[in-house]
Amino acid sequence: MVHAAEGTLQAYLDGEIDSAAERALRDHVDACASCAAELETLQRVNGVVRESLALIETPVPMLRARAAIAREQNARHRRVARIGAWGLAKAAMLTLLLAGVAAAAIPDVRRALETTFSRVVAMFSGAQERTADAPVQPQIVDPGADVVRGESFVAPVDGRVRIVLNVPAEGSVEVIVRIIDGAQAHVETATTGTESRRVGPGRLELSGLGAGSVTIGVPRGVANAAIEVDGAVRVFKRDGSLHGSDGAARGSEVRFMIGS
Amino acid sequence: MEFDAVFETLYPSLFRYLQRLTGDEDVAEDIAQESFVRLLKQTLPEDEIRPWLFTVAMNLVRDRARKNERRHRLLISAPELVTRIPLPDEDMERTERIASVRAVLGRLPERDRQILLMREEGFKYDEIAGVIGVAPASVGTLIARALKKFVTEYEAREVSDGSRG
Repeated sequence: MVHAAEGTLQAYLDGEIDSAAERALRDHVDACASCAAELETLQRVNGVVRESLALIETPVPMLRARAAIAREQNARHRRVARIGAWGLAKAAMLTLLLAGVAAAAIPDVRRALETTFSRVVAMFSGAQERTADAPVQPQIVDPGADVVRGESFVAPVDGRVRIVLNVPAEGSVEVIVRIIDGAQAHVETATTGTESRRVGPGRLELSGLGAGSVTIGVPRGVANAAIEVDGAVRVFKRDGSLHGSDGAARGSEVRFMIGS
Repeated sequence: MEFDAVFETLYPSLFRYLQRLTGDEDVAEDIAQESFVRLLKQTLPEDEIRPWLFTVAMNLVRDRARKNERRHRLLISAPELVTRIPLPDEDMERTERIASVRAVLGRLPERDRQILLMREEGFKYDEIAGVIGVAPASVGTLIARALKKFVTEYEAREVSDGSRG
């Protein structure tokens, strides 16, 4: 006779065998004293263990765990809310980008987008914080026929504007640098005369300049600026490009006259 | 099933399992709580939640034991100390039996302890097999052997205590 395995008898006690196997096992145990004894042993040890484990059962503390779970759930809700807000912001940016791409087919919109984009790029690259090393490409102008005492000129030098002043020994000129939308210009002077400076908002005034040169660095991030010599605008920067005052070109310098 | 319902249903069972397994209510509470906090981050089919919880809890028990071996040893031996406190006869007998159960349970191999305690919490054989990593067909045999080991040890201890008293 093949005896029932102890695992099968245990599975029978635990209700883990199907009804057909259960019937067959019961029939076998009824006819087999050895398996009946083994089943009895298992029933007894099951009872002892169950009773023993009941002895070491303690009340279940639920309060602290409930509170901890509630805290974690609240924290998760807050995190989800934050992520949701960021997601909405990203969706809005994506929508704007797509709208921009779609609108870029229209020339006016494209120009506006390009300008905006350039400003945003400049803003995020910190370009407005840097002082100017932008290549200066002034349109060279003819100052006209009102030469009185000497000819001066403006030239691009190493990305800066250099104003060369041909000033009679007893004369002097005034240079005003106006920075319309940015940081202060960097100015170096090397002239005869008794120089004085005045600094105001968006404005640097140099007076008493004699013969020599004034080198002006206009910050790269400045889109609009003007340099005046004796009250006349000689060089200006508009939308980031440097220009001579009257648009007439000659060589690589802007020439002007120092008049009385 | 909502998380709160899962918590109310399974937390007592997990706590009991851990408290019997470790012999320490504070440890059981901490680990049961941590297991449920981790469950919050999971998305599981309903029938996988209980095995997952018990598996995670068991891993946390092992981690804790590894990190603090000395404390683990104290936990195992703690019930022995309780028996030395003078108590009324009835209480003393109960206390001694509790100490014996904990001591015997503590001496069983970890797998046997897990199997007995999971079965006590109503786990089906295939769930036990999944958690401890054995074939479902072998679970009946493993339970039977673990039961016998427990009872043999427990009764030997009772006899030993009786002969001393």
